[in-house]
Amino acid sequence: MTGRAVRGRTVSRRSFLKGGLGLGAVGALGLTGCSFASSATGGREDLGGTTQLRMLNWTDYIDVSDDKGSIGTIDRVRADLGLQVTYQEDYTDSYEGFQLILDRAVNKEVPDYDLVVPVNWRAAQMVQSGWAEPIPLELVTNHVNLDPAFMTNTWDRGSRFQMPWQAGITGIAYDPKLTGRALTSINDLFDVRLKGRAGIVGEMRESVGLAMLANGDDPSRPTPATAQAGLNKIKEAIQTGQVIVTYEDFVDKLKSGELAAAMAWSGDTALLQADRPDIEFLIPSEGAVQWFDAMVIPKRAANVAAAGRFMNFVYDPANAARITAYVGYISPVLGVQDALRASGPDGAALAKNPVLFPDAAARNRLFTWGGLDAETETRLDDEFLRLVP
Amino acid sequence: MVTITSPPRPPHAPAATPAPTAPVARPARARASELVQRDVEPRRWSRSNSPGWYRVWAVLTAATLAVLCAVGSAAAIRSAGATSRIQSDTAPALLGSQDLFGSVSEANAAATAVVLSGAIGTEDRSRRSLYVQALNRASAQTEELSTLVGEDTESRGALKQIAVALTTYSGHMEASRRENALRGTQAEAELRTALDLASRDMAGAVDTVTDRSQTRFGEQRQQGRIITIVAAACAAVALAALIRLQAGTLARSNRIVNLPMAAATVLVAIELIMLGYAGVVRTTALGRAETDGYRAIQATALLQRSAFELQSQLSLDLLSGQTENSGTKRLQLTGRVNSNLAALSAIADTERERAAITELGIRWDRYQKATAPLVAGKGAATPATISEFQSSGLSAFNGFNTTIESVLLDNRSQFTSGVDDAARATRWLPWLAVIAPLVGIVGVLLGAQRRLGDYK
Repeated sequence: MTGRAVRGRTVSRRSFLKGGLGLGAVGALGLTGCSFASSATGGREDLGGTTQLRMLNWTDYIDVSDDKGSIGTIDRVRADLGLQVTYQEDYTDSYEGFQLILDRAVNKEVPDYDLVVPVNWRAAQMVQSGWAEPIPLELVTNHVNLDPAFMTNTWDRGSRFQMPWQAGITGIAYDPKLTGRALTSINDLFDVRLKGRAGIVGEMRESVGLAMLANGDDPSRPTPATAQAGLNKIKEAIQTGQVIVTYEDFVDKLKSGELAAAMAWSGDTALLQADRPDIEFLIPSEGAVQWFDAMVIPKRAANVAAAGRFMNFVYDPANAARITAYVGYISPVLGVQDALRASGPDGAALAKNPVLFPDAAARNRLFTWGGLDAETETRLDDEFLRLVP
Repeated sequence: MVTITSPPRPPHAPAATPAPTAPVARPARARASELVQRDVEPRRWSRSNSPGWYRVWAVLTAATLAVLCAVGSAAAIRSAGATSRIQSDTAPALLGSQDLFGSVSEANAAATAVVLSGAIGTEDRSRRSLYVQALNRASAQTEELSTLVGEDTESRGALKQIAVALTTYSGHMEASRRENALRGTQAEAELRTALDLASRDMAGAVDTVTDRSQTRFGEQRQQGRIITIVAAACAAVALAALIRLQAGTLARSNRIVNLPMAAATVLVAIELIMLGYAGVVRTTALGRAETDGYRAIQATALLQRSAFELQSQLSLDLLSGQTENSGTKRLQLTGRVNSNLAALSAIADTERERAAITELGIRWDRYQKATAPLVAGKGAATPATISEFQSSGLSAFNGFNTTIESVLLDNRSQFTSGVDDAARATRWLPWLAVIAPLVGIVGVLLGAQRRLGDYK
């Protein structure tokens, strides 16, 4: 497997903030968040004999501590829940990062972490392989705030083994001046008029997912045949020079005009739009791929109760809104938009952002990769990785 | 103690003159031995002397052990066999019939939503996909159930009926979809025919399969119970015989323990304990599977079914613009959902289950709130109303339904874990039931032989 970072989240998330979309709202939510938190958690609960929480997350994916005068979420977890949180940002990608979890899971050993945040297909792998503890629902009463759109995964109906952390969309970003027209379809990327000036993301499930949508197939319920057909479409486009493969560098390539259109991550595009408002982000008519990172308690974790209490805390809408304002991704928590609106003008501006809060029509066209058996996924991964630089 | 007597001497006979040479002496001693043998032989099976006592008790005990071997193995095979059939066929059939129930209901709800969305121009692709998935699942479940119900003619007949009905049902659904796309007038009629077929023919046939599976489950639970009690009684008698043999041996000899007999006693004691243990574990585990698992599965499936029916009804009402006319029916269905929710809540026995059911209640309230404005309006539903239903109503319903599914999965785990525990407890029983008495018989005979050898 490759050691390449799958998604350049560090860049996009921090840059998103530098773009001026989030910081004010974080501060405002810092004030309102505390009152929400205490009402939602009902004060200190029985810790079940443990106050330790060891969490592994992607880099810069939560406001850890003091940031612009407000107390960070991790610090508030420490203060409000009395948990001793060891928060590590070493989950660099879905391969090497996941290795931090994988070995102990395979060897059936006590894991190094009580809570980890892999991408959805890795979470699916954990759930399907029996490497995940069930969520202690009795401690996570805020599970009820989970958006139903994230509860229909075939590998975890009702979200019993994982709770989404943040979500994003892989759609199409394009420069209308360079394309010469408004794009509407995924197939526009495969139009010969854009030959060599279209990009696809170097992540198999997102590129193949979009290609499947272009073929009229559903990536949320893939079969080996439909996924292979999607991969074949990508393969042909790469081999004929129709498209080039990009990662977070699609931003620079769009900016410089090297690319006219590209499969694009919503958060990065929001950043780009801060500099280049003429760049469009499109959820194509066939739909777009939604991905999410999910909180999973690894099997045999020492502090399940503490992990459960943390999950409950971050699923309180006010606390979740604060995280959304910081990271700039789509929140899976119901009530975040209202909490942002209530937090002040900065928050209200965020609440209107269609990248963070796609409307019902857009949401109906979002598909999350449904997962295949491990053997097929590995085969597809290997085949895809042979195509990309 | 046995006294070995001298050879009888005839009265007035002169005392035997010692043989002059050694070779003569040997036959004389041999003769004496034969005489002793002749004297003991008639008393071999007499209980009044110790060897006789050993022989009688050893044979009696061995016979008891042989009976135990026969009865115990029959009981164990019957009990383990019934449990194994529950694990491999009956339990999956019970779950499968509930799943089939859910799949048909889900297909109904999804199909009505598809037709509804088609009525305003854009067919809801994700609902269509749900419908196709549910229909395929129902077909696969019907086939799987056919392999699980065995030779049960009633169930087989019902499943055949379901298979035929599913084909007709999908035909009507496709006709409705086609009519809808062509803006034909028969879309709603075809849809209603399909729904009638599902609620009348298919639901009745599924009920038959469920009832038959429940009956088989009950019968198989009882199987082997009486013969296991008889086997336990046999084991107790054999154990008593062994203890008596041991006690007699202790009383009649200075030996503290006759090892083969002691081993036989321990083995039979283990068999008795294990028979009791397996019986208790089997009964408890299957009882737990039924009360904690299956009843909850039934209650959850009923809740899901009533919710799907309400959802289908609401879609139909919006489609026909008759939300006010069927208000009573929807009210009844809502009442059924509420009572099923209360029933499920009443049998929740863990904090986790109670938390999940609380969540169900909240999500159900959200669904009702999301759909209340839609049914409040009179006359034909507007495209805006339908769109609103498509987004907020169906989203809320998804949340409710997937939570039901997660509760269902938890209950299934409880059910299958109970059945697995029962199967595990009885799996080794047939081996123990045969081996323990056979080894016991060998131990008893060997022990008695040793003891008799001591005399010789």
